[in-house]
Amino acid sequence: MPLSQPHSLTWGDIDLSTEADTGQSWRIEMLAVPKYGNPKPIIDAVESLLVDGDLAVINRWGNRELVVDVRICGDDGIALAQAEAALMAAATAERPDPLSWTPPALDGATAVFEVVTCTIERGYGENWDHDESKRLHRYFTLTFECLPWVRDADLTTIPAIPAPTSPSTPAVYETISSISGVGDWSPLPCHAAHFGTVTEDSGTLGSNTWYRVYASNTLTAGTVFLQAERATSTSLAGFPYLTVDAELSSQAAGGPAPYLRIAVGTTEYDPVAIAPIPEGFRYYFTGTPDTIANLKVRGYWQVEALRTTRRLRIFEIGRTDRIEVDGSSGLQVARTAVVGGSAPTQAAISLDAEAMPLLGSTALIYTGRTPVAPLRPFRISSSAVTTDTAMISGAKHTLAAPTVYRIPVARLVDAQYALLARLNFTGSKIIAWQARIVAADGTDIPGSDLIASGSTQLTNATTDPWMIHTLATLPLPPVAIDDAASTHAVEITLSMASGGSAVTVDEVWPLDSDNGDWTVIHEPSAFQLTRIECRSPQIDAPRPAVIGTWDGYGSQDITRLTVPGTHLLRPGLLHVFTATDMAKYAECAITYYRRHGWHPGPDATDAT
Amino acid sequence: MSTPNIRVAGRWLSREARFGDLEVTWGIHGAEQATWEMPLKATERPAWLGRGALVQVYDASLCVWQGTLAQPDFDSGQFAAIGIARQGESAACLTSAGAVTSAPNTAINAAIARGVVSWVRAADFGSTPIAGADATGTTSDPDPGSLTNLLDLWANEQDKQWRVTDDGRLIQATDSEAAPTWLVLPGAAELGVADDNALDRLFLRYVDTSGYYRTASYPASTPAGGIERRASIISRGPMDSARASAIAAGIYNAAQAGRTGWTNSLDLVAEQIITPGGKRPRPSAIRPGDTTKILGQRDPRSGSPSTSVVIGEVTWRPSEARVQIKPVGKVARTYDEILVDFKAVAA
Repeated sequence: MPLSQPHSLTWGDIDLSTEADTGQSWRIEMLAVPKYGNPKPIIDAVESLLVDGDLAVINRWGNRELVVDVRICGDDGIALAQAEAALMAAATAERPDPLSWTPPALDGATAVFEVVTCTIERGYGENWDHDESKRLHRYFTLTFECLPWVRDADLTTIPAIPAPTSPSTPAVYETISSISGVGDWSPLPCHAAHFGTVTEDSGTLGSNTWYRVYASNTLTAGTVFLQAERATSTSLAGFPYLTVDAELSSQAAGGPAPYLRIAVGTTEYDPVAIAPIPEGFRYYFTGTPDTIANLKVRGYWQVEALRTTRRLRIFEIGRTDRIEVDGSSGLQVARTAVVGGSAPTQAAISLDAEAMPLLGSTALIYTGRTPVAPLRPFRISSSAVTTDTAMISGAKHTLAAPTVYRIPVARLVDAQYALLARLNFTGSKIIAWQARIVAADGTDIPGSDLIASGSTQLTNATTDPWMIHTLATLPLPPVAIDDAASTHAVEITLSMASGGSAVTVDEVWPLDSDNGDWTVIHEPSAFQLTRIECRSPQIDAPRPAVIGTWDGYGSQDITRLTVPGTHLLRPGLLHVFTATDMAKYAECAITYYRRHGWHPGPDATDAT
Repeated sequence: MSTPNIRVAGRWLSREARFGDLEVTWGIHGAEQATWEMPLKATERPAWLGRGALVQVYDASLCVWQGTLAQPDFDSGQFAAIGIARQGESAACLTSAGAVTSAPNTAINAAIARGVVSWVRAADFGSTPIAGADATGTTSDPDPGSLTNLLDLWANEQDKQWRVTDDGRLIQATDSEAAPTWLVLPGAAELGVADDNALDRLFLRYVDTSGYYRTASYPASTPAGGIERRASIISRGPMDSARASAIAAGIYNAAQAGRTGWTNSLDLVAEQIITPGGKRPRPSAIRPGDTTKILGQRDPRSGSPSTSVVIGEVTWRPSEARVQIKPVGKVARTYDEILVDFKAVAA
């Protein structure tokens, strides 16, 4: 059926749309609008006696195939040969150009198919020789193997959050007004049918008064929220960031971490950063009106088939001049961003020192769907701790005595983790690690006897004693915990059989490898980086690369010096966590293509 | 979302080429083999991708396997690396002066010093010659063979296991079925019971300290209808009866004697295995020497409602998200193979 609306299919600089006029003595035109193929799911079926039927898992998605029949038309033999040469050059290019399809629909956005391989065949239909001699037509079939998802024509950039104007001065944080009890708030579920009875209460943790709203979800699939609305007006008074200190009950295994949004009127705001604090997480918001009459705080969960209690506990509403990870003086920065599109994508992530002190020689860049909680604030016991502003965590201690960290399970999602640590030693050291669940005060509970443990020999062959090492991989929490018991904690212990005084600990990070990935960069400290960019293969690099820029030495590949990660971004809230050894508030920007199944369009959240 | 990566001669392969079909195998002694596919163009033959290059496999930025590149086949794009634990197969047992020795510590230290194994000895394996001293007699050859042979002799005499960890430490381990590290969910897989290679009593010929041929046996009596086998260890030099009896017991236990063997392996995805804490494990964390408890399969040996076996070999295929677990006692571990480990011969 002929298409009435304007549309176009272009391949690099070749316009295959039939209406196209190249202005030359030849044309290449498609015979019909091709079918755009489908990504092929790679499904692994698992038999189990536990249920009837098979448990099927989609491991990944395979490439899609597009077949385009084209005809070249020319004025004479020379023109036909020129057209064929143009087609051959495009088909045999080292990296074939992508195909861009603009559908015949009003406001239809261009979909770009990234071509992995292209093959070309001469078509010999009936009367092909007659077509050639009488009409000067030659027919070809182009077969494109494309990546499974289509992308936008243009890159999307999530800009960096500006560093504070005076990064070396202490952060200014003010409580807007203390939470005093239930009177100031009103609870509400996202939908009456999605939750049972919604209850509110209040209490204290230490000297800190909190307000809580909780209910059991009756909806068993999808995303739900519980809302607490504040009657008193909230004023930012010139501060760039509004903060909400809150704790959300954790979520069962597999999903992204639950998170918080605020709403002003009908406009919802996603957090720009989520940083761990002793009570839970501090959620940072920006771009809101300076004065908010009715602040709505919403805790979001992805619910599954279980009917469990969801709790949103608010400790404080505050305002601040900067985003900061507790105690790290700006060397560790957490930020969040919403990834658009409807399919996973890859990104180029840059970390820039700007006019600030240099990035230094060490950097950790994590992206994923889980917030990162550095363990220094959760240290319970160790050898003596020395404050040191040169440390990423702001302090250090040796392994002369075992180091014990106790982190509430609500700070972790149920997943596989890797333990990374920034340590100072030279040569080889054997470090023992273990993890187990305990009560909030450290006493044994059922399951405390199930200990995940091991030891790893770490080697530092460089002249720089400070290195980030991977100590272990382990599931956390070590025992699967139903979220009703969210007061439990995970106790992580690092120790050495002997010689522990020669190993100094700066910071330890549990990183979720199910929902995220990371890149670790080490450069000899003689050369200090001002900028780091982790490039993924789909964006301006044939293969993944890490590019470093030095002050006065230009840019070059430093992949050899790093632990390169596969920074795969899933649509939705993205957590980015960075730690460097010198640059305070290093600015992190993310550039990516939004990806879709077949047809791009604006994201649903763009409308608000 | 974190994906495995390979590092060859210090270079990350993800940066150099597209690779896939990674298959990593750990044997009872540690890293054994890794293979992957990496199609390179006919013009791409990088020099660093040569035989003998250090190969490290990383999962979630932790090195889970290391070895050396053995067979780079550029034509087919197939690459194979031999694990660090197998370096002992091509290491001679020599003193630092170059004489043959069967004293474990001496042989291990000298092999490390010569650079033929890239291990660190992290335990005391003893300094007494196991197969007799060199240049002391003419009736038998005390050469223990390769370093792997010597360590196997040591392990069987001590009723222990030797193992090279992923980070290169040579350690001692006692593998036991008593404490399961992993649980296999009911219906996920079942082990077949093997009846061949049965052994109920072993008679062992040896030379005593006076130079006389003698026989040791284990156990002390044969059950009715039992299968008796004979073997000789006279090449191991003179020894007293206690040591000969210990070796007989070691051969008997290593061959899973008095028990049945297994006919197959478990081929599982991560969803079919849990930790004792109910968590899904990371497939690359499962290692030989761990114990896996197969829930829902009655143990043919004891009648217990679940079967616990020590893992003898693990093959991890990340692209399929699968892990193959081969139990110790799978029938390939035959009586004849055990005798080879002991440098004993069927008599």
